[in-house]
Amino acid sequence: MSKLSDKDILELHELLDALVENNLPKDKLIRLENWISDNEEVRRYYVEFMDMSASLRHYAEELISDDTESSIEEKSNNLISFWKPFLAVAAVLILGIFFNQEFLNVSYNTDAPKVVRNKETDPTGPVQRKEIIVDTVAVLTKSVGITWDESANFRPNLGDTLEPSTLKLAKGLTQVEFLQGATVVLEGPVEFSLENPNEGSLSYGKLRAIVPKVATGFTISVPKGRVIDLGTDFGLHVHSGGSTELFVYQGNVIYEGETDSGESITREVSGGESIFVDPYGNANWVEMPSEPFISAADLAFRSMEESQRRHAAWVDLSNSISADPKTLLYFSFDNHSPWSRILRNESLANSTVQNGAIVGCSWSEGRWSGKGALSFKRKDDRVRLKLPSHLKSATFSAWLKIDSLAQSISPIICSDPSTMGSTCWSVNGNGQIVLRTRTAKGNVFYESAVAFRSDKLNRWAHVATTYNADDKMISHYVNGRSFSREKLIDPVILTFPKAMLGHSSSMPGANSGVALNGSIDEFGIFEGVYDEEKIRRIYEIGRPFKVPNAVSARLP
Amino acid sequence: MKENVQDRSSELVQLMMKYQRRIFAYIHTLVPSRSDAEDILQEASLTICEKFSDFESGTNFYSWACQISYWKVRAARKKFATSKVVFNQEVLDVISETRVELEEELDNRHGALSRCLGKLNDRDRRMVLTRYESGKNVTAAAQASGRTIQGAYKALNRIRKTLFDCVSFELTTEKA
Repeated sequence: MSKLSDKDILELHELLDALVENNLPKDKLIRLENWISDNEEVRRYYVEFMDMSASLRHYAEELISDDTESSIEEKSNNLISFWKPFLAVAAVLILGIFFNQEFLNVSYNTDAPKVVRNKETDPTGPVQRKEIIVDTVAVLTKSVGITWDESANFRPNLGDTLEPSTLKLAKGLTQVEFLQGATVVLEGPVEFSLENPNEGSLSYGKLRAIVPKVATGFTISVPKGRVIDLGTDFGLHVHSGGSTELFVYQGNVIYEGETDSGESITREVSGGESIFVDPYGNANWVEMPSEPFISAADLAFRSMEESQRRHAAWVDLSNSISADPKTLLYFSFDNHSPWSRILRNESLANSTVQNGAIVGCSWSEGRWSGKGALSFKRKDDRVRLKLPSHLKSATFSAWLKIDSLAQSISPIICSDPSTMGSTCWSVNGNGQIVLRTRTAKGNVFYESAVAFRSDKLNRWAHVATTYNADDKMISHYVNGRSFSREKLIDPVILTFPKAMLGHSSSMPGANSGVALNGSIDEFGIFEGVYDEEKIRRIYEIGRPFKVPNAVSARLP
Repeated sequence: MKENVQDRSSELVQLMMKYQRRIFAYIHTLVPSRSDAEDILQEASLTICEKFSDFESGTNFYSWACQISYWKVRAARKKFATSKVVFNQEVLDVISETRVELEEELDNRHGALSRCLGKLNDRDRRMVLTRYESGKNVTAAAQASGRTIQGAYKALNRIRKTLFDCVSFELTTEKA
């Protein structure tokens, strides 16, 4: 057995890393297979690496499990996904086929560990080396105003990894990042096939390719030839009649093709140059046109980049809120799986406040594409919270979208009104923001001016309310601006017994509960009073960003 | 008889709770795609349940379950057009053999990994654990750590290498 060199170990690690990410090319898989077969040390490394991968899965799920166990006592179905396969066991038990005898014509014994190597009973016969994993070749990273073609069988979502496949867009722009590093923007109507991590095929429509040096050699097939990139930025337009236009903006591109008469064509096209390949395969130099597609794509690019910058800024803000010791409770609603029944409290400083238990609500899209939110629709929808805090002064902040105002209240966060100091923050039937506190004299309501008129419904809005016991002042904010102020007449220590997000279980003087009809996609309670500047910053950084749909208007 | 069935089902639940991680690890060693390995674990769990009457209490449940899993892996090759099993039969067998030889060490590595995860910085730890959460992909890991997708692939590669080396070092230290 030969000892692995450092170089070997690095190569082996690269192969195994690609293997677990499902993007190990066929030739390298065969290299790995042979290596495992021939070298015992490689085998050991492989087994230890894959076992680590399994252990990471275990720890990742255990983390979720811990979250679940540390959450409040809630009889929600918090199944730990690590044990999902065990549902099968439970199902079998319930169905009463527990001791069904004959399942496979294979017997299992209980000897000490050994490997089953009975080739005579191998039910499958010899293995074909063609049976190779399907590689991930690219990721769909952005899209603007897209509609899939009616005949499109494959309709990936934003963020999906893509195996070799065909994308057919009726309209809109979508961006695909190849694993080798090239980025392609497609403009509908377009049909584009992903062949491998550095190659695609354009049947019709327009694309723009941005190819960094690491992806040099990126190739796109067109009807009469192929375009090979040498590290550049270029546009392609394949017309329905079979002709192709190639525009090179930077760097160099090689066009290789063949005419119908069998003549081979090779053209090196440099920045600022363009060629037109007619339906018969003849290539001609043409003037670089001012092509609407490019400017539309640029605009959309800038919009998308801006959107990405905005999102990154919000992530930074969100992280700083999480880390702020004054943050008592913070829900960013981000990075939850669609089936999650736990709403993570992301306040790092306050470990006494636990995660929320989601009851009924459904996950939906928040202020921007990819942002998570919780929708409250039915009267029992809620997130149950355990907030053992007592606050002298506090700031409440939420991004919410109210679909319709309930006659009584649209609760944002409410707690049991019978307990001294209990607090409820809501929007009333008139569209006023209301902070209710329970004092020795009964419930006191601090109401803002009307904030939610009909034109403000069904739109994301940021609301905040501060409770300032020192200055004896309640201040309400809408979209980062001070909206109205009221005198605090009977200060109490704010408490949150049996608190619920988006729901009030017992309104004063009413028998039944009421839920918010709308969505929340960010929520926080902070100790102390945030000033207007701080609240405006939350609004400015977090406000929804509209990506202008410049595409459809510019289509030829 | 009814009581006996209840005892046996209780025994099965306990054994599965105890060994499921190791059974999954065994399957994952033979089937590198995590989601495919999870599918096979699902099938194997069902068969383990159905065939549990064949299992003799007090003998090696893990070994028995691994044999069922092994056959499930082999059956998967035939069942799926795009094979979940990437290796040829000979390689599968030598991998399986090696795994059996290393079982004790792998248990120690599992424990050491927990300590090594604790040594990662928060961003890297969050990223790698997000990647391994059920249903999460590299995109989710990229979002969780504020990286681009390309950056996430590179970072995951680096983190896995760091963890692997850390675990190996921990075990060497323990032995010394």
